This record gives sequence, C-alpha cells and structure tokens, in this order.
Amino acid sequence: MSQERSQILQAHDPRLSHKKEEFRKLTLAEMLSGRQHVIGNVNSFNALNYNNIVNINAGPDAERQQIIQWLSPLEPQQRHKGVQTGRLDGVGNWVLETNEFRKWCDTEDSCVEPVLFCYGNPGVGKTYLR
Amino acid sequence: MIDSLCDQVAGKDIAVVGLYCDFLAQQEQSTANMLGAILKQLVSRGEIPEHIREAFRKSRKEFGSRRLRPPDMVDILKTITSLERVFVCIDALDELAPKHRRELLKSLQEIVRVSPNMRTLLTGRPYIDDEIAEFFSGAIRLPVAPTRNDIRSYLKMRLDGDTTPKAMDDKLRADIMRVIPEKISEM
Repeated sequence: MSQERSQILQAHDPRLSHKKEEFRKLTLAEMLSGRQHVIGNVNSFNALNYNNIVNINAGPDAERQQIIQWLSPLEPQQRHKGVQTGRLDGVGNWVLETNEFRKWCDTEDSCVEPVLFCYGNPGVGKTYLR
Repeated sequence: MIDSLCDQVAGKDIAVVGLYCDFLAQQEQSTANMLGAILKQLVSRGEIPEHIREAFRKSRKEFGSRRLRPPDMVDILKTITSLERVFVCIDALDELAPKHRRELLKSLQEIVRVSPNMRTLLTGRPYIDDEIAEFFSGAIRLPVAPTRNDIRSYLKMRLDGDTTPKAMDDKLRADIMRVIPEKISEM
C-alpha cells in the first residue's frame, strides 16, 4: 500500500519524488498521528501526505510549536470546540440554502463579492450556524 | 458555519480558518493577534514556510522576541491566499474593539484586493453594517433570525432536558411549544 501511495503522490507532485524512500517507511500509526497537525481545515490527499513526510523528517519539532504560538496566542480552535458542543442539529441550517450563502460559497469567480455579512441581534444564533 | 464549509470543501485544496471575537477579550484580540491567528491556522497545516521560520529565529535574537507586525502579516497572507483558496470566518465582529475592528477590516480589504477569490464570512450585530460597507461596499448582507422550526427544536431540547419533568403536565408543555414560537416570530 505504501508503495502504491507513493506512486500516486509522485504523480500528483513531482517535487516529492526524492521523498519516496522516506515515504515508504511510513506506518499507518505515523500517518494517523501526522493528521493531527491538520488543524481545523481540510487538505487534499496530496497536501495531507506531504504533511506526514515533513513531520517525519523534522522529528519532534519544538520550534514549530513555538512559531505557532509566536504568530498569535489566540486559540480559536478551543472556542470552536465549545460551539460545536453547544450546537443543536438542524437549527439555522436554512441559512446554508439561501442564495446569498450559496453564491458566496460556490462561485469561484473574482467578480462575486468576497464578503458575506450575516447580521442579527444578540442571541439569534449567529455563532451557532452550522 | 465553519463546519459546513469544512464539509463542503473536503477533498479540495481549500483552507477554512475561523476566528471568534469576544467583548471580554478585547485587549488580547488586537489586530496583530487576529491576523496572526489566521496565519497560524494556515501555516500549521503543513511545513512552516521557511521565511516565517527565519523571521521567528531573527526575532528571538531581539529584545522581547518581537512579533510580526500587521503589515508583514498582511503581506504573508496575500501570498498564501493568492496561491490557494481560503475561507475566513470571523464571528461577532461587533465585539472587537472599534480600533482593532477597523484595522482588521482594512487588512482584509488589502488582502482581497490581491486575492479576490478569498472569501470572508463575517457575523455581527446590525450596527456594524455601515463600517463593513465602508471597506466592502458590495458586501452581501444576510439577516439571521431563528425560524419557528428553529425555536421549536430548541424548546424541545430544553424541555426534554428538564430536570423536574413531573412539575409540568402535557397541557403546559403543549402551550409552551405553541405560544413561544408564535411570540418570538412576532418580535
């Protein structure tokens, strides 16, 4: 499986061909632990594997954590976890079906206005929109 | 909103970052810290870009480990957002200190000028509408208010979690479920 993946990886990104050997050494556990570095968002298959390679080559990267902390002490991910817990499924989902949201989200066109402002009074559930 | 976006972009080369503003944290939610929080979510997905590492090492040699200044962060964000699609979600913008809010909007405006494909979602109370329009004159506006169904779901959840359910008979429960959604819809 490892070899198959490295071939796919190479096909996707020739820059990584020299990493092939390291990549073969990956175990499933290492790949899974690498995933934890993907914070709060989604990457392509390519980028995800690229992360794994980097993490393994760099070993335990203390400087990495220091840099992340240096960039900003804020931890929006922590607050996000709280919001996820407090959210009630289904409530506010109509927003995702509105033309305004769909257009803003789906169109890959620089003519579309890049900013969507969802406004409402305190307590209407703006934060808890899914 | 962030989770929906994450679901929708799954498998694509798109990044979603989120920020929350809070009245109680106005001091620490400075422009530099807010831009830094966008930056750190973006760069922590993979290898930290070498120029950021270098800037960090250089700063360590200076007194007090000087942080990146907002203009430097804006420049880095311009580069990242021109290379890939980024969604930025900022919740409760009205809770940011006015000075920081204007600076943040101005920074976003600068980034969008270079990367018109970056998408920004802002939430907040209606009164900051004018300020947003000042920086993004064409911003799409979407009023948010709970629907009757939203209110019913919420009430049901609260009633189901009642710790003394015997204190309420079926009629009272039915009345609550009927009257409150009606009254709120009239507000």
